[in-house]
Amino acid sequence: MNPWVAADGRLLAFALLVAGFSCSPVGGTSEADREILERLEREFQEGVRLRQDREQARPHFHQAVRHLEELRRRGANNAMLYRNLGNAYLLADDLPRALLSYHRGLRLSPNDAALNELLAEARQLVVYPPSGDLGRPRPKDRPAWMPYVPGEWLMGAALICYVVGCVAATRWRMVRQTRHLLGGLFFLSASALCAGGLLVRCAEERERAAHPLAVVARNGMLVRRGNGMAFPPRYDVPLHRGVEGRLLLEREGWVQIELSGGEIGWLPREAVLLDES
Amino acid sequence: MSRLRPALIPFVLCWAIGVRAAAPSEGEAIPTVGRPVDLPFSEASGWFEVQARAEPTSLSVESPLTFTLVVRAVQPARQEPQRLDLRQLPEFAEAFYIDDVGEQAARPDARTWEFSYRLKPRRREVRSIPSVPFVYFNPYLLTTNKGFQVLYTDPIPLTVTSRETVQVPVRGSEGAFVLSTDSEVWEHRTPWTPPGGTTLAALVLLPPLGCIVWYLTWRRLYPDAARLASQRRSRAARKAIGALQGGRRLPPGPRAARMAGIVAGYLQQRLDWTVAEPTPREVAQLLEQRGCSASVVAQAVRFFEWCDSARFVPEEESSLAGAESKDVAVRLILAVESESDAASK
Repeated sequence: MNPWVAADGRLLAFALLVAGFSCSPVGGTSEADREILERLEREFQEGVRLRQDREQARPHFHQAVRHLEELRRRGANNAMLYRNLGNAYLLADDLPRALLSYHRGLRLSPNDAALNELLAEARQLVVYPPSGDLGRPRPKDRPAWMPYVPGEWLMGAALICYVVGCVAATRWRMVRQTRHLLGGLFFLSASALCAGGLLVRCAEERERAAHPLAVVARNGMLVRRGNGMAFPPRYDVPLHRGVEGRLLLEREGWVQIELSGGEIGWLPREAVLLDES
Repeated sequence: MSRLRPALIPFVLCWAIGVRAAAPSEGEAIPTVGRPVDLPFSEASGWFEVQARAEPTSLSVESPLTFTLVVRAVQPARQEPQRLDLRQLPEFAEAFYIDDVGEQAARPDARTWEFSYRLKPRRREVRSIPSVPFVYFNPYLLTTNKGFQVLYTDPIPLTVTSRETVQVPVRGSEGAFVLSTDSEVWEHRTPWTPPGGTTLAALVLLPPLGCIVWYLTWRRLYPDAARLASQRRSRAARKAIGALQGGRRLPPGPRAARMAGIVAGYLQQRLDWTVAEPTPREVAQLLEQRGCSASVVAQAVRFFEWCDSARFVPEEESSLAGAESKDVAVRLILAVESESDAASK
């Protein structure tokens, strides 16, 4: 047998092994992990079975939350986990954490239709002030039919178009055929378009990192003008659990948040959940 | 003065003390020595008896009942009893939620005080209302060191049943009652982050650099093609070369006529010629007049002769295949372009 062929085979096997490990879950699914998953399923299904009686079902959903958080601590981090976590929190009557979990899942998988739907339904449970739009989420700028293109896709498309555009332009330089020139211009323009989208996405990511999501965790919170109870309320109506905003500042146990309509005010830190992931 | 008989002395002393006790002075301070430290003191001074009653005695968990502590003075009270805080009694605090109905005691008569409390059993296992220790000071007793007295009410049996609850379903959409446990639930994914400046610069610079290397290599390997490509071509030449790309499926005769027409059209535009269908001889004359080299003239004559033979003598085997004839035409146009440029310079 040709030694080179044998060496190539071993190399291929090694590469497949490495690829397999890199795609596998973090730390693998150990016996303990499977046990957690079984307990999680048991508790969740028991909660679902008792769903007609909130008092009886809630403890089971609380347990399910505990097991899901344990999975998260063990390294799991994906949209499905956050969807489950959001559901469990919601059914355990912890609406703010449910909203936060759905948002975390959407950050990992922005086009997940189920997550988007669950988030919209959870938002319907939030009690907004009866008059005015204070704290009420604004509709997205992007139309619903337009999918969210992830940053890595934009990056890949921009690179491919850029390489193809360069090759076509070089080929045109060689043979001076118009189709090569047109092709090169087309692909370079497409590359520039993708790069523009990528810049917008990067700006969004920076904005998200600088001003993380904040969810009001208590009912009846008055938004104040400053970081203390001595400051008067900025609005007459209080905010309730589940109202979303963006963190602007944090100072001496108080956070300044901007609500979706641009309203800015201060709330006690312990009354707000922050997406610090 | 008559002398008392010694046997009567104790009786006289008792009488004297008794008289003093029977007419106690108002507002006399209650001593602190001897006061029980582990029980709440009622601040009462006098001679009392206590009772307790409760209504209802059958109820469900966390439902209220009214518990009344009745204090009655047997002798005139020097100080009135104050309301006891039942929360200070561990048996009560552990078994009941305790609400005070009112701070003021009810007074059905001058010698009676009634203190009411609202109790709610915490659990179904609560079986009775425990005894209330009523601590007071009795100044009527002859021995002051035993003046603090503790009276206990009788325990009141209770029947506590489970609370009647209304079942409220869990709120949530149907989608929220679904748990997904695919293998994906174990995966660790991180949100995308843009690459760093160095990586980005490399990604931007590498493709053009690669193309430059490719182009230079190509020029080195194919110098003639590179020279031709670098020549400036007229609009007429570009148009004619573009037109020559078509007509591949035509039979040899019509294809030759088409190519001859295209090249003749090019010569008309480029060299300001007016002949529509030139013969090979006319083409040769024209090109010689315009200063083209002998090789270009020969090339042109050969092309037009082939076209004529293909058009007018179809049964004769053509010396040029289809693709080859197109290449000959393109080379002729490029040669004319080259010599025209040289002449213009």
